[in-house]
Amino acid sequence: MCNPCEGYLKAQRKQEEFQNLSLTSRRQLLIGLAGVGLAGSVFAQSQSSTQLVMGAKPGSGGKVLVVLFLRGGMDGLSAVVPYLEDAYHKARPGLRLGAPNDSSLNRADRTLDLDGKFGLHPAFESLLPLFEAGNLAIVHGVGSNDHTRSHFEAMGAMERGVSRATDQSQGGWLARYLSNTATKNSGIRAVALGSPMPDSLRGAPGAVGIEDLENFKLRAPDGFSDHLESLYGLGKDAFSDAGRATLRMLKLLNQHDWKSEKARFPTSGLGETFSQLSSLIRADVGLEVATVEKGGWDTHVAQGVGQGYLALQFREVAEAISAFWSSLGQDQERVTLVLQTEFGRRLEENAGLGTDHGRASVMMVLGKGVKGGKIHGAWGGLDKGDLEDGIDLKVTTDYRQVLASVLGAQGRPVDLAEVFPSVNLSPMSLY
Amino acid sequence: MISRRDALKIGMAGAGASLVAGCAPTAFRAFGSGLAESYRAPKATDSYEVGLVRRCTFGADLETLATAEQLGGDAWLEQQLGAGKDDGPLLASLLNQCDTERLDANEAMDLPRARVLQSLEQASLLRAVYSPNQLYEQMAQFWRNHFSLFGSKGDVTFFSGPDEAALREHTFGNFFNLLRVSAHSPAMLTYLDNPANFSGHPNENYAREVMELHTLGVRGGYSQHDVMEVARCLTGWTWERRFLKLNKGKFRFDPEKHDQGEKTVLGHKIPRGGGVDDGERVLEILAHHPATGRYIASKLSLQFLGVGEGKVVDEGAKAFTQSGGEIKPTLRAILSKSAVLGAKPIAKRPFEFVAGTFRATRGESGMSGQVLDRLAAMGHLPYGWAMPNGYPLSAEHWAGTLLERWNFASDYAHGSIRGVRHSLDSLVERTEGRTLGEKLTLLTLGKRFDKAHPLAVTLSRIQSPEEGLALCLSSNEFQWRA
Repeated sequence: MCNPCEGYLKAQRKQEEFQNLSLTSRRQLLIGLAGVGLAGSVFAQSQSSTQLVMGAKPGSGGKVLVVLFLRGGMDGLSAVVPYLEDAYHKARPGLRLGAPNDSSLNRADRTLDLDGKFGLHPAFESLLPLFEAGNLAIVHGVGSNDHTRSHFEAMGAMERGVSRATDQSQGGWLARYLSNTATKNSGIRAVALGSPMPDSLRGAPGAVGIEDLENFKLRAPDGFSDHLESLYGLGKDAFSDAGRATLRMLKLLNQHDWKSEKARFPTSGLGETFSQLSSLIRADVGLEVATVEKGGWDTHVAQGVGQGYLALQFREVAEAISAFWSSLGQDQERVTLVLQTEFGRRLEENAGLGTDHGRASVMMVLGKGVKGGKIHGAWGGLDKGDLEDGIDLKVTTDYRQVLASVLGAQGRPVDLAEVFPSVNLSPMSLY
Repeated sequence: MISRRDALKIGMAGAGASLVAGCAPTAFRAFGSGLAESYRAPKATDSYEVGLVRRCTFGADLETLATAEQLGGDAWLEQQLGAGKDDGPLLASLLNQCDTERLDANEAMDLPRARVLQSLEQASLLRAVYSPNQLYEQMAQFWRNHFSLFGSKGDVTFFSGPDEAALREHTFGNFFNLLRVSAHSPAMLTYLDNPANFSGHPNENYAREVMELHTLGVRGGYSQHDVMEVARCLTGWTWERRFLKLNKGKFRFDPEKHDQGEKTVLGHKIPRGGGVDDGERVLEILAHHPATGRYIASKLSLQFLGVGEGKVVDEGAKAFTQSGGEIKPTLRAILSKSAVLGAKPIAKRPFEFVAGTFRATRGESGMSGQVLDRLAAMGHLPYGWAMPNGYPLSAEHWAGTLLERWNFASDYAHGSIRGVRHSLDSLVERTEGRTLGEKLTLLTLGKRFDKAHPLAVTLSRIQSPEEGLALCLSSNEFQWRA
């Protein structure tokens, strides 16, 4: 060893790696994980969540749409459980969750009642108050027309806002929404937080991907950023766009003082991302769209029941959303959060006590003014004849009917047919 | 392989010492070739030779460009395709620091997970930067990414080294062998949950991805029913966990978990009672399916030419099919003169950006600690992509890493990354060019720029070679292979 610091640095790196593993890496789009050794999430209170001190006048901002994408295919039948269906209990003897009062099951495997037919997974408990307060709407039986059951096809279709991955379209649906509602907003209209830029924002001018807001700094000698401005001034390629957006973002963020503040965010990866998003929204930097994502939903083996791998995933999501929502305070009025995934999972469990790729799943919409406290969407049923291809919960609501309803409520005139070109829109009435 | 004498030459840093960092300088002193007397501009900027070197290497440094120009494109390509296993003593001694180069899966299991992963990452970067067999390494990484593994999932960590070594044996070989190696690999089986694939309620994870991602491609003509049938064929494919078994940690077929019934895969009847042969038969059907040739050719073309369809893909698919899945003829078709001259710019991903930086400036490093941390911050560590589709290629995906690239460029140029050295002043001194800016663009981008070009204008204002190098590496131009 040539350097005495090497050991320390390695230890530090190991620590980071461990956190990446247990909290699910925020650097990559994780979907491949089902359990093994990854279940160590810690949900203590964050010691130092960073917050932007207001630079612009608060309250002048417009509405903000936050899209949380769960990559890997979230099991909608475990998230929002149709506990009255015999077919569900028969198909999932090892994975089934029960009615809130089902005394044949462990308490930990009973759901939280939503409407007498569906129950929320117990690890989602921190979402229940939002549902009961009427701010959280759930849509069951949602999906796309892509029947391949391929992650990449299904995500490709959804993020571009089309029916199938083979459909032609320009860029992502959020990018089209932003172009369609172009304003004189000179701030930061769109960010992808905690992840690389997702396809939904592809082609959005000025959108920036920010892994970590706190470390979004140019660490170079003075004058370097001026040089970079002249290098990235003209080009029309992806790097030129990103270069200009990055330099602009650096400038805007420099205009704000940062300070750490104890906030009620869990110390999970998603908790950290949402704490930064909350700061950005409250600092009123002009944000209209933000994307956040979490991987690790491809639960082919050992997904667990009331506790276990999937429960930890659910808990991370619920606690981050709940903390985010309460941190917003008055800004709740202008924020809508949509939760989506590329597909649900097979009704029947497999031999590894996991589930394979299926079709319909659930979406959630959180916001003031939403018809919350209600399960929307037609229920397709779980009897053999009701299932798609005889195996999967069928899609009764196209995901775009949900998104279209949300976009219509953002307070900006928008041509929805341009955002979602390849479907006959009849937006769900979520408001 | 490193010879015994070579190993003695580096004394304490030799085999078995398993030093992770800090001993690279010894290896460079012993085996580094030092700087050339002079570095000259390539004769042409848009020739077949220049295009080939840019696309087939992890960084088109002036020496490699000169070699290709001297040999001519066809001969250089043949030389690269003929690469043997000799990586030279420098790389061999650097690799000696990597645990995973020496240990099998059972031995690796005694080490901390993070150390095993770091060793894999390190080896990958060392090969990319210091191997003379650049096309071989490009292809090794292509297959690594094609049969992608997530190193942090369970025992995949420990099986990844042997998996990579087995794939490397067939880098320039036959696709069927690559597929077989991967399908029998405990790493892949574990990663895609096949040890949990039993008769009765099969687990479809590997069965789906082997068709969608490894062979036919998603539009290769299989159905959900085929996925379920392939899953049945692969029931019982797992690895040996039992203590004291000779093949512990290796492939194992468990007949008790296997579905013995008849199956139909892509129209082929697979009779009942086939046992392990059911799966072997599936691999054969998939490897020789016409959709597979087309899918592999298309991926190769995207990787090297930035083009995923058209005449060159037809040619590549034809070569693949006619040769029965041989990689070399397929590559010759993809890398033909007309194909390379008609290729599109390809975004350098962070790994290629970092490796290219070292190659352009003859940087020296054991590639531990801080370099890997930087790559992690850019989201491109080997074995770090969780999804089975492998790291994407598109510029849009990677454009968000610019800030990290700029920070890396500045720190690299100013020598503030621990464990990294370069001799910028001597390098600049030996490089052709009238101005500092011209020398630096030659070194990093292999060409001169018109003085009205924004890069040339900006370089005319710089204060030091370090600042100039940081700018060249930060420029838009350096983010592309074109």
